[in-house]
Amino acid sequence: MSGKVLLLYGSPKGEKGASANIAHHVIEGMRERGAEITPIGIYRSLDQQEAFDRLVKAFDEADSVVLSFPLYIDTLHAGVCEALTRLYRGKEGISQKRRKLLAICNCGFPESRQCRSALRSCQLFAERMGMEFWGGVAIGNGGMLGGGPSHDGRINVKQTEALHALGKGLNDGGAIPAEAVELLGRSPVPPRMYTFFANMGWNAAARKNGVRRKMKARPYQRS
Amino acid sequence: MRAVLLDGTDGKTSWMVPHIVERVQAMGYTLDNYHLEDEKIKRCLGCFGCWVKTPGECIIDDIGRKVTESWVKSDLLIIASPVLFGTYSFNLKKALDRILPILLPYFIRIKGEVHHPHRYGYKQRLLVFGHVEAPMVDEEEAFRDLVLRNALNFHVVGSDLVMLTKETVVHQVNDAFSKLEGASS
Repeated sequence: MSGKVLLLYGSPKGEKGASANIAHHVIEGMRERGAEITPIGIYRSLDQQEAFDRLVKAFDEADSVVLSFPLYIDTLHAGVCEALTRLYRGKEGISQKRRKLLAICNCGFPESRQCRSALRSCQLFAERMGMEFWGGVAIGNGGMLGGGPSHDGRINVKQTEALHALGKGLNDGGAIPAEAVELLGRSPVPPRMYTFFANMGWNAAARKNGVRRKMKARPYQRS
Repeated sequence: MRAVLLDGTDGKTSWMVPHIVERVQAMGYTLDNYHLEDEKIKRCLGCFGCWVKTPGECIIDDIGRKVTESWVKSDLLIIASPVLFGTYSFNLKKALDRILPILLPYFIRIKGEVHHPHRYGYKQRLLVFGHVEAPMVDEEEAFRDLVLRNALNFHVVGSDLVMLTKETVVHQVNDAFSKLEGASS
């Protein structure tokens, strides 16, 4: 089944960073099956009605929606929250077909389970919109995937294959491939190694900006 | 004693707030009250400038900085928000996303899970008031889970969530603050 897919980039970084890197590989899997993809950045669509109308139109025409986004303060970023809220409030103007939603949340922690609240919100959105929640995928170690300040990242071969499998599976119908979800949810490196190098990475970024010694600054210290 | 109220309500849910304000002030707190629907807070850019460029302060110079300052300087953190999809209103979330500077970028382990440490370490309590307009199964449960996660990541010493209804708001708010007084003494 090749259909129309709306890819929503749910990061304020748009087409850079971990969320976009992840989405790219899912979409590759769908393109191999002949799906027609419409990519839209949520953040570019929020502040002008014409841009949001285009998002709504693409949503209306889509058979499936892929939402790739980063975890912010344990849940959806404000922009993703706003987009989903506005879609829901405008639900009466959207055709009532049973679209599928694949939600992929990435976070900077090694434990992907910290994404669970955000994915639950996506599931509740799908239910309120009459969509089929095809599945939620949680991915940790976002700093390795382009989620850090420099946007550099690399998705390893197994993760790439798993993301392709998600794309193909969403296109072909049937259930979300459990093996792919499980692999993507696992930390590819020992968590202590990830946090060790992540902490070094923050120090390096601060040093590059000349503020290494000020990293623990307390501008709002109580007197 | 100081308190901050992040008011994420809109026209339909503004009834959630007046009695909260009244009770907080009656308890002797100095209150910083932000009605977020009226404030022009820019969305977090995800740039990590608050960690590696201007440590402790957001690079965006708008009221988001003041909200963060109020948050740090308050003993009592209060959130009032309609709940949709098991999460906060997007106006509330804009403010909350911008509070990231209160944390340090480093990773530490707390009870076997990785978190960011608090930049300041002050003892604070979190009180969240929510309201779901057209309740769905599991929506309140989803929101409770979120608030517990937030309490953990904000490193507060205690938290409570009260799901308000219009008919019982006064009674519920009174109860919540009585419980808070009991916990603080």
